[in-house]
Amino acid sequence: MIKVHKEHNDILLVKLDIKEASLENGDAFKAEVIQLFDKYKKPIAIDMSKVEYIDSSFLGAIVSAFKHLISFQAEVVLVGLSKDINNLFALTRLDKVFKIYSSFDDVPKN
Amino acid sequence: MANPVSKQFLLPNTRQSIKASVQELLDFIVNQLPADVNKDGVSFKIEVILIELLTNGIKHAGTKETFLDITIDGHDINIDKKDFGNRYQPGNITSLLIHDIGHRELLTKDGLHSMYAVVESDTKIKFICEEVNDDEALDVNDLMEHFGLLIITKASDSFTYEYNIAMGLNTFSVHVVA
Repeated sequence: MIKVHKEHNDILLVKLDIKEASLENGDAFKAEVIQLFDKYKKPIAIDMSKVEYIDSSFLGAIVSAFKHLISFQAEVVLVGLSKDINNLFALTRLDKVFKIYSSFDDVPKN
Repeated sequence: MANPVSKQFLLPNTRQSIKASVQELLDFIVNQLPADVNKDGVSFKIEVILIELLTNGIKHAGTKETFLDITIDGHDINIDKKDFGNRYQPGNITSLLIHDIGHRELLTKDGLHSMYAVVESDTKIKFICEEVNDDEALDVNDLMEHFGLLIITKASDSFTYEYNIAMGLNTFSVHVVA
């Protein structure tokens, strides 16, 4: 579900390779993010530009993964959200919690 | 002014069917709206409401099918989702119905929102959401991870839940002004 795109010194860039982010794959997503963090030990920027559909269960999984990384002084950064998903983050005010960028090019990295 | 339009939908209560069901319902609603409505803005609200109503049904109702009654009257959109499944009671929410009308109970609170249930009658509660505007109160570790009720409440103008004990009927009612 998650493919590693590029590893930088201080951030891992990954791509979420699903169109539907839902109740069905939220738990697996969280487990994959945590596995990646356990392996690379650095913040993770997730490109979600392929995602066309998202529900509250998947939103909860993103928050849960974020909390896990925060407990190790890392974070989850989100990239390439569609207009509707951006609107959903604004509606839930999660846009105040997550750093959100248009593309990997905009993500600060070393 | 056009007459109200109503339609009942009987939908499968499965994860795989949600996306297609949402699209069918959304198309029906948008096609009935008056020409002066900003359809982009309304479509987003209606879509997230439908996704969460149907997802909630799969999580909690435990039935094979769910009913949706949709009425569009000018700029008013009413969506009633009904099922004869398990009584909806996360956090024992229906125990609130023993309280007087107007009683308000805090359901969840984090650094972004407070969610309340308000008793509307001896069978019905209304969900209300207030934004918390205190950056110092924003502790990521306390953030809620269940957003379904929050999304429906914030995307709608009114959101209620009613349980008919005699019929074993759960009814979630959403009103949106387009």
